Amino acid sequence: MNQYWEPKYETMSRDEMTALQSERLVKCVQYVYDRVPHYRRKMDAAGVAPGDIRSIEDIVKLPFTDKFDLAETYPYGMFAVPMEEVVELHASSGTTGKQKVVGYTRADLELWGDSMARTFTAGHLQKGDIMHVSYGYGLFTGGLGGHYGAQRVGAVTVPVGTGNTKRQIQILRDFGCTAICCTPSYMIYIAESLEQMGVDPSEIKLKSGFLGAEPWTPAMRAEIERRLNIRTYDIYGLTEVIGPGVAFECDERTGLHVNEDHFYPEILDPDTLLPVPDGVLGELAFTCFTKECFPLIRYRTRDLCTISHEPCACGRTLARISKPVGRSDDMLIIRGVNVFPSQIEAVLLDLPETSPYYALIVDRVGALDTLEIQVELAETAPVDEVRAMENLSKKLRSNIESTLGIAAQIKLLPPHSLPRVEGKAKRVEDRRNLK
Amino acid sequence: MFISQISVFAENRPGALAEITGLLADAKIDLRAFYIADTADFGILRMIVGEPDRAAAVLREHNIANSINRVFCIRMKDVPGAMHGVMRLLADEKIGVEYAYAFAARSGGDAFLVLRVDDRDRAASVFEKAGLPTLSQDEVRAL
Repeated sequence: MNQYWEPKYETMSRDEMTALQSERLVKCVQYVYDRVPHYRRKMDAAGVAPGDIRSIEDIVKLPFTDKFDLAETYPYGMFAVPMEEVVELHASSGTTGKQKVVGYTRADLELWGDSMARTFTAGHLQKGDIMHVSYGYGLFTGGLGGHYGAQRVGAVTVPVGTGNTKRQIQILRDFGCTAICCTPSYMIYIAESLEQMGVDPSEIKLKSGFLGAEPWTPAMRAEIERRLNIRTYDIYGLTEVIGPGVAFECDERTGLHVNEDHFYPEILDPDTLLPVPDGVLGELAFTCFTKECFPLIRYRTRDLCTISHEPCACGRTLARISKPVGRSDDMLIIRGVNVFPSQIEAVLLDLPETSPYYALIVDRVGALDTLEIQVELAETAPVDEVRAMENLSKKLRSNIESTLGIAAQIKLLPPHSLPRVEGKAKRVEDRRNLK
Repeated sequence: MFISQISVFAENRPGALAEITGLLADAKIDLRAFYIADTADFGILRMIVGEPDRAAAVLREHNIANSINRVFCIRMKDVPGAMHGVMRLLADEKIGVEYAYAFAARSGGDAFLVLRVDDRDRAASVFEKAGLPTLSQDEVRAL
């Protein structure tokens, strides 16, 4: 049984891993210092020279990278190779108003494929399996990440993408797909649609589902596994690091193994930004040692989780992070899309008829996330005219949809109807109960 | 020629209207007409009162935003066909009605039509030529 994709790295001793990480960090720091002016400026400003970094313990001397660095250098300023060597771009939305653009060389794509192959192999995908990729293809990393991983393993890859659930179910059944990757909420939606279409789950050959890109609960997992009679594997990733394939679950379900020979995880106290011990909740940061185009130094993900460096019963020694329990900023993940309240605020400030007072209600109806935006009207809004108000509502809906990439319900409220609070406003009510 | 109508944007939820009517009752504002335009998502409340400036101030004091709009208030005989007389007049002139609502007088057998049209100035001269009496704000207060 092909249990590991790259056993050498997935099962190496802690000492060997530390030595490998030290070697790779030293090389990586010199690499970014030489090739990316932004990193050089930041290191110079912090008074750190590449020669100061001699082992992985020295990583704490390096300055952090965050979304503002990416906005400042948009679109290509963090690339460490000339465009002649870049073969693919991906991007994800950010609170800064600028997309985070990430480039891949051919070797980076190989690395990505291997990272996803480790993920899929942990879920027993192998040659002969038929993988239904139901993540979005496009700038979003989900679709192609799943695609490259499945191909790397040698499974039959079915690039279905998102949408048209009826057709997806037809493909699942007629093509005899044995594995799927998609968001957990879409997986539930598929289960519901099967029932509605009168398709018996036994007509579907699915054995496993690799689900991620949005928060999900143990209850959702139990429901998916019961309704579809499959085994599910949680996956974790983010575009800036590589996409899906950063961390993955094995059969033990005791956390997600981080591909730490490539993506070095640190857990930091959100206030002091100092490393916390294993088991203590903190903010996750990644250093990408081995990527050619888009190496990263101590990139702050804002995801909150814990880490364990104990070897796992599955035989892997790769450190395990807990499922992220929240964010240290106000980002929401709605239908797999990153949503920042500040993006919504910007849309409201753009229209003279609306005030900057708003509330976001996130809920889950059946399996799908819903977003309602309650907006206070400006005092000067033409409230006498039904048509003007309806047009305003329509315009808001379309501006929000083009900014966020997802649809939202708009509820107009009279001026002064939302509570005014001192200090940081609590503008988001998440009723999804994902804990 | 025109009278003041107060409009309030109201949320679609039980109690939203009672908050507004409660304030007006406490301030002893006499309502002549009261009309709600509703959509799936919100309502717009339109009112004719004797003292619109005072009513607007009371609402504003309690953070209820409102706007005052100039509308026609036409005095009609409270008999069959009176409404049609006004509507035909507007139709002949191709003047569009944005909204309208009517109320009856407490005595005297008259009815009153509150009207907002797309071409207010032309409508005014049409009414004048046809000899249709439109109320002034003072006349509304005296009703």
